Amino acid sequence: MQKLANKNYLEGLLSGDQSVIDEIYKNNFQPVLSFVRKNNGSYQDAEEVFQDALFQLIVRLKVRKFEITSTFEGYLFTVCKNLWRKELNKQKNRVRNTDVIELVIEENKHSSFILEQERWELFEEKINQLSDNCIKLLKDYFNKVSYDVIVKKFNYSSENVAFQRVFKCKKRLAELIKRDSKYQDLS
Amino acid sequence: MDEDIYKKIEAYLGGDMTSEEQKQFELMMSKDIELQKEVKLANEINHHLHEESWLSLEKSESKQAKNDIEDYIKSNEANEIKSKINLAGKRYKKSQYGLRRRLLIVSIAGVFVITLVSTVFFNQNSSTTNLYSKYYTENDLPSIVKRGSQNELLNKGIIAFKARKYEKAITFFEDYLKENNDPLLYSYIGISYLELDKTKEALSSFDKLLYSSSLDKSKALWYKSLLYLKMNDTVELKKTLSNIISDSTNFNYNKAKELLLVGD
Repeated sequence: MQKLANKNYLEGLLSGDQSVIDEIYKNNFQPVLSFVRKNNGSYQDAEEVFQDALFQLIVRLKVRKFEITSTFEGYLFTVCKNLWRKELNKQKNRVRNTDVIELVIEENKHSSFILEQERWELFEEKINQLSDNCIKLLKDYFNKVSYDVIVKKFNYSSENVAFQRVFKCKKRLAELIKRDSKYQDLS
Repeated sequence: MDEDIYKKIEAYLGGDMTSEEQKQFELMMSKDIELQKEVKLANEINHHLHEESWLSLEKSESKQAKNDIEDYIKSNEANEIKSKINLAGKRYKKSQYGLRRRLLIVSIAGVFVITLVSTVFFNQNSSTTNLYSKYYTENDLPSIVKRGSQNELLNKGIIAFKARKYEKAITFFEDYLKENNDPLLYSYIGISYLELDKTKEALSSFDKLLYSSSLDKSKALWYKSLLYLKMNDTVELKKTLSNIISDSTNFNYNKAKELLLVGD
């Protein structure tokens, strides 16, 4: 069923079927709008993110060997979240280097993000091959949860043990990524 | 790579090195492609795991893939799809605007209807039900029985009237009137019709009393006032009440005055 629904959407999108695009908009835009608004964005920002995500999806289908493995809705929302994440980072950097005005050509904006999104998907795929404990540990560690909290939460005997675990999990993740030929293509 | 190198990579990426250590590490990297790759991957993983950050692609990366993508983006096909997506966005926005407008209209209409209903209800409450029941009293009706009537039809009519069986009461009274002349009875008939919401018949009954030779004919004006009160006909009500207060000997002169003030 899921594959069939995805197929209908994808085929409609590829052929530029107006009713399909309208339906995609109707069923998927609202959550994106809520997310962007919650994260300091406007309706216009949400609209840009949503339309870029749809357009880039078509480009990926046409040019890259690509298949949606989750639901269509799940895929679209994730891409929109990442597009907005990138935009917020860009805004942060712009504040830091006010004199550097970056001129980004439209094509370049899409091509860069498509490849970054591909890298993101590859990393996610590899993270999900780690143990649950590793996943939780890495996410806590990289999202600035302090060592003492991690030590207590994961029942480690010391901060040094916690660091060793983080280190091992990250090394394992790096190996999984390096071994994948997709990563070589993206580098 | 040994653990020591990984620790150095983390320290380098985390900005935990002194400027001297940093210089040394960068020198080491410049001579070691494998180390460069390790640092790059470690950096990518760090950014990936950090929920708020996003690592942009470097210009030198994935050149071929970028070119392929950009070639397609420049094509007519891609441009057409892009404008179709854009149009869908406009249609969506318009439909949302329309929806919001419709919702607004519906809610305004809702408020309007509620106001209207409550106004009408309120008016009915104040000028009809409340005032009518406040001013209508059976005691105002002429006491026919007291006058010592022994007529069966009349007695039955009075009993039915007091039991609020108005249709029966009307029949008895009308049968009685076929053989007797008693214009005051029209007040009972009129009130019975009024209670049955037959205002036209009620009015005609009161008029029969009003245009009779009865000494109590001014009572008809009062009953007519009650009728207009119940009908919420303020214009006729005021006219009738004014008629009553034109002569202080008229029945319920003071009440009429009072009601006129309430009406104002």
